[in-house]
Formats: sequence, structure tokens, C-alpha cells
Amino acid sequence: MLEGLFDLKRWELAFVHMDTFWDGFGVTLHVVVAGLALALALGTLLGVFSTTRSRILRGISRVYVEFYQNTPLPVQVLFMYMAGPQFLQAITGAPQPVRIAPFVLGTLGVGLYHAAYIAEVIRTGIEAVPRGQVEAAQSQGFSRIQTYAYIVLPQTFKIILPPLCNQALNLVKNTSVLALVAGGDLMYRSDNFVSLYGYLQGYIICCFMYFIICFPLAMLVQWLEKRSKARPRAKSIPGVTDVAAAAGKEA
Amino acid sequence: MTNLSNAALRSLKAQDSDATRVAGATLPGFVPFGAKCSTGQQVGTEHSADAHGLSAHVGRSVDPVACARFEHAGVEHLAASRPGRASAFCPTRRSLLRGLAASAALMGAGILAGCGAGAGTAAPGSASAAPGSKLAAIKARGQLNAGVKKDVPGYGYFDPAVGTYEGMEIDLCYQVAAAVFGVSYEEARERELVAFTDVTPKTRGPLIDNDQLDIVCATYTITPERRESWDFSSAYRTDYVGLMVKKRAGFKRIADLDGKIIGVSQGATTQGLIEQMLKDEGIDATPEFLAFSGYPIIKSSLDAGNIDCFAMDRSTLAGYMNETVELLEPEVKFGEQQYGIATKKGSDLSPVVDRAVLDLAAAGWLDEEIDAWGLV
Repeated sequence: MLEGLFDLKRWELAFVHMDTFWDGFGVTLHVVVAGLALALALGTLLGVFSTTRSRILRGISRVYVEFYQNTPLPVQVLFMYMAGPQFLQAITGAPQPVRIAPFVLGTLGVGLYHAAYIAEVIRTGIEAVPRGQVEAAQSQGFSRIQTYAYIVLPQTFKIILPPLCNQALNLVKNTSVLALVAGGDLMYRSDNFVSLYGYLQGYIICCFMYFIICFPLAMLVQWLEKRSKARPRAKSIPGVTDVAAAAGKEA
Repeated sequence: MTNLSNAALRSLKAQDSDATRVAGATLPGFVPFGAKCSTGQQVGTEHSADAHGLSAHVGRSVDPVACARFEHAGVEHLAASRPGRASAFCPTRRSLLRGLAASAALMGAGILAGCGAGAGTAAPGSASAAPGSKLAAIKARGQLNAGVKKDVPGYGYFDPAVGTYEGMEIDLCYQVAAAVFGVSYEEARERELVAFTDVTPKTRGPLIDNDQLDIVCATYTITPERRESWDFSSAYRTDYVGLMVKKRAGFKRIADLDGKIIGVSQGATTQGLIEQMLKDEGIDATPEFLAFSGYPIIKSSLDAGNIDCFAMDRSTLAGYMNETVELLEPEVKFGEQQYGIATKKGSDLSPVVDRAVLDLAAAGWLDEEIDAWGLV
């Protein structure tokens, strides 16, 4: 088995099938982009919910996070895959079960799952900004939204970048759950290749392609992290800085 | 004791002595920890406490219950021999790690012992490596050891309600037994001259090789590669690829599958066979193929409506048949596979089995069976 890894003929055959791998790569990339967007949007919303004073919003966020954090992703995806078509059929009244495209299934699967983790990252990030910052901002005449936008979230950003990066990378790798339901993603294609020919080269190519997605993402986050450590520049904030400047002139 | 279980015993002993050496070396530091910790670690300690006792014990028997009893006794012995230290001592990290490694090794040995015992009981009457006549060995034993399927209705199916195997291949095994023992088919059934063992694609070859089974009659497709390793009788049954679809989908012809999704098994040749058939039959349809890792998930995908068709050997599909599904155009036969009875390469049993199958085919018995079991 292992000497086969160095067999040039096997590598040749694997490279002949490169198109299939790239197809899978494309599917995975689409799912990653859409899933990451969904996870970030929903995660931020839920994360902010859990820091508000409203009990209902906090409750919603808590239940969601606990459910998704404490159940395995493959089970969630398999459940959506198996129950989804007939559930949609019942809702829409279609004559046949309504299929969920693998792209949608993958996006929903990893998006909803990682939204729970991202919500926790955002929540802890917000809570890590000292309470005094909010009070100081409000004493300076910042509205609630301005307080979040200009004072709290920029500081949160620095704190959450590393764990957020973790989540993004895990999301990329977790898209391989689609292989379970023959979703046409990178993992599925390489698994098919390996079970058809018995050549482990398929898995190596697969790893390499996941690396192609993950590595630049990790680099990007490192760059953002470095940038966020630079000294912040003064901003003009309508209703705050201009008023302060005017007051300064008068004085 | 069979060859296999003897070998298992030997390896068990070898592993045991290794593991006990490791555990023994760390005994002082490790004992108290293991004595109050979970079962896995206890096993490690107890064995190390009485190494010679263990190997003597293993030599006698691999009965897991007896093992457990012994281990239990070991713990008491241990606690008694080191009074006062059991609760006060705190193990160092290294001794803990070494202890864990030792107990892991022992647990592995325990699993091996379990396997050895299981395989031994699976074929209690198998002869002790008779290199000579297979026929003589079977006659001396009084039973034919046959490997069959337990989950393919119509071919080999174990009915849990009744506790017996049934199907065409089961009947065929009795016919072979009748030929071997020189009795009538009815007598072979009555005297239960066949001992059945269920096999899977992975086990059927090796079980013939190590003489646990005399024949394997389990939807075993004859291929040139397999002929090199085992003897096959003439084919007693030709199977084809079937296309299972949902009745509610309302497919009438294979051409209806144009643009639909067909689920196949990963690594199987089904896709190529279907595409060949479409070409041969001149059907203008280009279905999409999705490969899944196992049969059950293909069936549940079909039930869920994620795929339109489940394509596989008909014998396999038979296991998934129910009132909601049907075979699409079963009269179109493609992807032919010949099932034969496998026997040990070059054994004197092979010609007898082949003769029996040919006679049964000539007498029309095989056709009757196919009708009787409703095989398509």
C-alpha cells in the first residue's frame, strides 16, 4: 500500500483525473464562501443578542447556541438530507419530494453550525471590553448604536480575530461533511477516486486542495491581526467629534 | 481447538507477557492508582499483580467470564498485599502514563482473546488441519460446514423468528451435503447435515482458506481473479443488475431515467454496466450517478427522495424490497453475474460439488427453486 504512494504511474493517473478534483474544489469553495457569510452574519446577530438586556433575545441566542454546539454536524446534515425533501414536499404541496441542492445543504449545514460558535466568540469578545468603555462613550454623548459601532466593536475585533480565524478554518474543513451525502465536494470526489482505483494519491491531492483554501485564509487573518494592532487614527463621527471640535473652538 | 484459535491464544500469551513486563516494572507507583480507577486500568494492574497466574489461566481457557472473575480476585489480592498505601499514594505522571500504556496493551490482548474464542466456537466441529481428503474429513465430522448469506432474502436469509436459514442457496447446500454423504436431499435436511455460518464479502474467502468452511454458497460471483484463489462450481444462478425505483415516482421505462439521479455503491462497477446497457439497448437517456459509501444510505436516500433510483445486483436489492419500491423494467437484463459455490483450491470436494450443481441444473431442480423463491 505505502510503496504505491511513490509509484509514478499512480500519480500520473491521479493527475489525469485532476479535472474531477478541481470540480470538487469549486463546489467546496462555493460552500465555504456562502457558509462563512451565513455563519458570520447569523453569528454576529446572535452574539449581539446574547449581550443585550432583553431576556427574550438572550434566550433565543442561548437555546440556539446550546443546540448547535452540543449536537454533531454530521447528524444535523444527515437529518436535513433525509428529512428535508419530504418536509418541503409537505409544506409546498409538491407532487414529488423537493430536493435540497448539495450547495444549499452544505451552506446551511456548516453555516448554521458555525454560527453558534461564532456567536460565542462575539459574545465573549464584547464582554471582554470593559464596561467603563461603554459608560465613557455614553457620557460623551454617543448613542447606543454609535457606542457599539465606534467604541465596543472595534476593540472586540482585535480580541476575536484569532478565535474567529479558527472557526473559519474549521468551517472549511467541515464542508467535507457533504461527502457523507454524495454532495460532489472535494472530499467526495477524492473518496470516490480512492475507492475506485485504491490509490491513496487521491487523499493527498485532497489535502493539498483544502490547504490551498485554508492557508491564504490563515494568512489574511494574520495580516488583519497585525493591522489591528497599529495605532488607531482619529475618526470624524457625526454628532460627536464635530460637536466636540466646535465646543473646543468656542472655548 | 482450531488452528485459528490456537494462533490467537499464542499471540495472546505473547502480548500478555510483554504487557505484564511493562506493568510489572511500574508496579510500585502504579498499583494504588489502578486499584481505585476505571475498569480498563484495573485490568492492567491486576494482571501485573499476578503475571504467572494469568498465563496459567489463559492456557486453560479464554472464557471471558472466567477472566473477569480472575481479575476481580486479583484486585482483592492486590489491595490486601499493600494495605495503607492504596488511598494515600499519589502516582507521578510518568508512572501513570506507563500504567495506561500497559493496560491498553492488555486490553488489546483481551480483545484478541475474545476474537479467538469467538472464531473457535463458530465452527466447533472443524477438523484439525487435514491436508488429505476433504471429503473424508467432512464424513468423519458428520456435517458439512457451509458459509451462506444471512441478509439476502430468497438466497440466504436468517429468519430470527424461527432461528433457521432459508433460501435457494440454503437448499442448495443441503443438496451438496446429500451428494457428499450419499443420502437423499430429504434425509440431508432431516438429519441436518449442514452447519451454516453467515459470511460477508470480506470473510468468505479467508474462511475457506483456513478450513473453517468447506463450501461457500453466498451470492459469490465467479471471476477470473477469484478462480485463481478458489475452486468454483458451475454457475447455479445468473444474477443481473436491477434498477430499484419508488412506485410513487411513476417511472415506466428505463428511458424515463433521463436526467434523473441514480445512486450506486462506491467502488462498484454498476455505473459502467448501466451506461453500457443504455448504449446496447439504444436508450437515449443520460442519468446522473452518485456514489455512496454503503447500501443502507443509498436506500434511505431513495426513500427520502434525494435520488430516483438505486442500482445494484438484484440479489442485494431483494434485501431492500418493500411495497413502496419496484424494479424498473426487470425484463431488461444486463450486468450479468454468475454465482458459483466456492471450495478450497484443488480439494477433492470441488468436483463433487460441481457434479452436484450440474446434475441439479439438468434435472430442472435449480429452475424450480428459482420459481419457488420468486427470484427475478
